[in-house]
Amino acid sequence: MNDNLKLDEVRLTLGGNEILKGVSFALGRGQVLALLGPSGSGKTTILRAVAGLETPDSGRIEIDGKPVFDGSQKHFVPAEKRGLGLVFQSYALWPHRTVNENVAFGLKLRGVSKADVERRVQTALDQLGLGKLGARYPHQLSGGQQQRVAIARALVYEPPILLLDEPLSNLDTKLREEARVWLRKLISELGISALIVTHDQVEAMAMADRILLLNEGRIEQSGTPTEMYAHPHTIFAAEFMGANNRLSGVASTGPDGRANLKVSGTELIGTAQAGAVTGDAIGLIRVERVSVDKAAGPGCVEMDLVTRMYLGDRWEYLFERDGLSVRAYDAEPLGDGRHHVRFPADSLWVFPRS
Amino acid sequence: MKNPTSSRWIPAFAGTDAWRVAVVVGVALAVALPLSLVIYQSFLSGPFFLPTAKPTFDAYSFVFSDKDFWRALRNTAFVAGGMTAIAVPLGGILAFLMVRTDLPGRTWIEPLVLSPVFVSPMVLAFGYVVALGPVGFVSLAAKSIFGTVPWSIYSLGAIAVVAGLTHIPHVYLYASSALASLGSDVEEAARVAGAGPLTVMRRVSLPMIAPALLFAGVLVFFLGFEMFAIPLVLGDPEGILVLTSYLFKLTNRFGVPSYQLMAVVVVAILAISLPLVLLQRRLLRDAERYVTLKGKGARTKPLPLGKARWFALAGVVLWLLVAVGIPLAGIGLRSVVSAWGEGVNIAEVLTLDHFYEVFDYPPLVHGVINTLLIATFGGAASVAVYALIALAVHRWPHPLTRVVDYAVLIPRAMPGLIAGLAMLWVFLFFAPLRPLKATLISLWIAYTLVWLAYGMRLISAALLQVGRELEEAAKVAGAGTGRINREITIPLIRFGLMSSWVLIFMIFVREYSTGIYLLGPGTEVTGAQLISLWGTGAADVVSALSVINVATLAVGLAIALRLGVRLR
Repeated sequence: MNDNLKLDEVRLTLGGNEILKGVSFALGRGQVLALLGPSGSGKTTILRAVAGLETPDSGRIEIDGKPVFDGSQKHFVPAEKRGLGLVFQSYALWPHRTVNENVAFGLKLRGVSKADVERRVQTALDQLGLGKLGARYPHQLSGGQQQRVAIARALVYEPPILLLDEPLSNLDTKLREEARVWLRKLISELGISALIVTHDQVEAMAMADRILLLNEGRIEQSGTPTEMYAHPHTIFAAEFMGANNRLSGVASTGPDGRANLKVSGTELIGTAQAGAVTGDAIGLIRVERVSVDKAAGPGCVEMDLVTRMYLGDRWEYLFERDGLSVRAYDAEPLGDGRHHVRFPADSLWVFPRS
Repeated sequence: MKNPTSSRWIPAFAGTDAWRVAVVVGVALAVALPLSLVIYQSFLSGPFFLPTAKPTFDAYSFVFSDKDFWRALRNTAFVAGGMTAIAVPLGGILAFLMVRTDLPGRTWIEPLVLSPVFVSPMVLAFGYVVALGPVGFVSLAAKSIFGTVPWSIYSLGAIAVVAGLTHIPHVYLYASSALASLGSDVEEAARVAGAGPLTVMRRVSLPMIAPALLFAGVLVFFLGFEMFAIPLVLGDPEGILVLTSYLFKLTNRFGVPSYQLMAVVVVAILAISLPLVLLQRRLLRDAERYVTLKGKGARTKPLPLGKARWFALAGVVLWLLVAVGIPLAGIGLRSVVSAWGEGVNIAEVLTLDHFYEVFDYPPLVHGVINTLLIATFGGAASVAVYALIALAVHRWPHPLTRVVDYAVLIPRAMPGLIAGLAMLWVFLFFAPLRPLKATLISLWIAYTLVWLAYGMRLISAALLQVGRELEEAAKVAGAGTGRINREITIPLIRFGLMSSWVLIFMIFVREYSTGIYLLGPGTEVTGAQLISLWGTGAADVVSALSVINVATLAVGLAIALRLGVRLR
C-alpha cells in the first residue's frame, strides 16, 4: 500500500473521441510524477479524471488504496468527496473573495473552527511567502502571487495528492524558471505526492521524480528523467525529450549490435533502438551530442559549415554534405570550410521508419 | 467496497441531482399544462367547464370555413412580410452606421435606438393615432399646409410600415453584435481596393453577417404573427383583422364565451409560430457559429464616412422621430389637452384633468400600483425562478436538460394574449387553483411563463461568463453543488441577476397582452387596462395612463443606464 494513486486501464471518451485508451500507472508516496505530452495527448484529462471532474468509461482509479472510480462496479466518488488539491492552469481564483477567503474555503467546508481556519490559512500563506497579502483580492496580485495563492488554496487542507495542471504556463519566461525551482523545493520540503501536467519536457525533467510520456491517449514511455532522456524507447519519446537532428536513411545490420545508417551516400554508425533495424530508417542524435573534432576519428564525417548563430554561451552551427544536414553546438567560433563532424555511435539512435 | 454516502451511480440520478430533476419536471409541467388544455379545448363542442361539452371537430370546421379567419391570416402574412422587408435592411444599415462608422453622437443614440423595444406597443400604437390619425396633431398640421392629410394610418400598409419601423431595433441588436465581432481588416481590405463606405457596407460588411440578418428576419416575421396592439389599434377602425385581433374579437362575437373557437385559433397560431421558433433556434446556432469563425475582432477602427455622416445622422434621427418621437410626443400632448380637433386652440384646452381622473378612479389606481408591484417584486421573483431553472441545468451533463431547452420554446411561441388565455383556463380547470385567479399571483405566473425564454437567456448569458474552473476549484476543495451555487456561482453572477431584474422590470411594466384575459378585480394592470379602455374610446384616460406607463419605463431605463446594464 505504498502507492498514493493507482490507475488501472482507464479509458475515457469525450464527445465521441476516445481521449484515454487504457492508461495505467502508480504514484508512490512522496513522489512527484509529471504527465508529459503534446497537446491532445490526454494528460490534462488524466488529471481531471483523478480529480473526479471527468468520468472514465472503464478502468479503475484508487487513492490511498480506496477505489474512487471502478468502471466494472459503477462506483464513482464525486470530486468533492476525494479530498484532493488541484491547482488550475488559469489558477481559477474566485474573484469575489479575498486571498484569505479563497484559501479558507476548503477548511470551512471541512468544519474547521474559526480560530483554526485563521491560523492554518496564515501558516499556508506564510509558507508561500504571501504573509501580508491575505486581505487583497486576486485582481490586486501579480501573476506569480496568484499562482502561489492557488497553490496555498490547494494545499491548506493537506490533501494526500497535489494535482497541478500546467502550473507554470501562465508565468513569463524569467519568472517560470524561478517558480520551477521554488515549486520543486516546496514539494520536496512538504514531502507530499504530486501529479504535474506539463507539455514542456525541461519543466518535467526539472520537477519530477518520474515522467510519464503520453501520446494520443496512451503511455508512450515512463521512467526517471535521466532514463527518459538517455534511453528513449521510441522515436516519439526521443524526439519529444530534447533538441534533435533527424536523419532519414537506409539501415543495415552492422557489427557488435550496431546499425549502419546510410544517409544520401554517407555511411554512419549508430545504435539500433528497437532490435535490429533494416531498410528505411530514421537516425536521431541530440544536437549537443554532435561534436566538431580537430582531426578525423571514428564516427567522423567531413562536412561543410553552412551557417553559424551566436547564442551567448556557445555557438550553434549548421553543417551539410550532399543531402545530409546536421546542427551542432560548439564553445569555439569555427571558420568557414570543411570540418570533422563526429556522430558518436552510442548517441546516434536508429529507429525503423514507421 | 461501495459506500452509499460517498458514491454515486452512473448515470447519476438520485441524491444531489434530485432537485435538478424536480425543477426540470416543474418546468415541463408549467409549459405542458396550458398547452394541452388549449389543444383539448379545441376538440370540444363548448367550454370545457360545461357538462354538455362533447368531443368534436366542429370548432375546427367553423373556424376554417370562416372567411374572416382566412382574411386575417392573409393580412397577418402581409403585415409580417412587409415589416420584415422594412426592418431587416434598415436595421442592418443602422447597425453598420452605429458599429462600423464614425457616425456623430453614437453613444447617446445607442439607448435611444433600443427604446422602441421597451415602450409598450399599445402606447406606441395609440401615439400614432393621436399624432398621425385623421385628426392627429401632425395630421392637422399637415392639413393646414397641404389642404389634406396625405396619409392614412388606418390601413394594412400603414400597419406594416409602423410595425417595420418599430421592429428595427430587433434587427439592430443581432446585426450589431455580429458586426462588432467582425475584424475591421476585412473592411479595410475593401477600402484599400477602392470601395467607398456604401460599397463596403453593401458588398462586404452586411453580406458577411448574412446569417445574423437571416435570423433577425425570421425573428421579425415571427413577431409579426405575435403582434397584437398595433394591428388592433390601427386596423380595427377599418375592420382590418390579423390573427391575434381576430382571436380577441372572437371573445365577444357571440354572447356566450366560445372557448372552443378561440382554442382553434390558438392552435392555428401555434401551428405557424412554433415552427418559426424552431427555425430561429437553428438559425441562431448557425449565426453564432458563423460569428465565432470570423471572430477576431479585437481591433475595430471606425470607417470614416466623411461629409456623408451628417446625412446618415439625419436619417437615424428621422427614424427615431417617426418610430418613437412623434407617437410619444402625441401621447404626451393628448394627455394634457381636454379636447382635440380641427380649429382647437391648444392654449385654451391645456389641462391636467385626465391625470386627476386616473387617480380618482380606483381600478386605475390599483392598475398603476399592481403594475409597480408585479414589475418590482414579481420581477424579482421571476428572476429567482429563471435563475433556479438555469442553475438546475447549469453544467449538468444529462439528457434531461434538453427538456428545458425545448420547453422554453413553447411559451416563446405563444403570444402574450394566448398565454394569458391559456393561464385563465388553467385556473378555471384546476379547482384548487381557482382562488388564485383573482389575485396578482395568477398574473405573475402568466408573466413569468410568457417571458420564460427571455429570462432564461438573460441568466444563461450571465452564467456563461462564469469560468468552469472557478466552480471546479470549489468542487475539488470539497463543495457540493448547493454550496458551489451559493458561495461561488451566484455571487459571481450578482450583477447579471441585478441586470436581469431591471430588464424584467421594464418588460413587465410594458406588458399589456398577457393580462387581458386575466383582467378583473384584484388583477388590474395598466397595460391590459389600456386595451380595454381603448375599446371604450376613452382617449383622455388612455393617454394619461400611457404617460404614466412610459414614465415608469423611463425610470427603469434610467436606473438601467446608471447601473451600466447592457440593454441587449
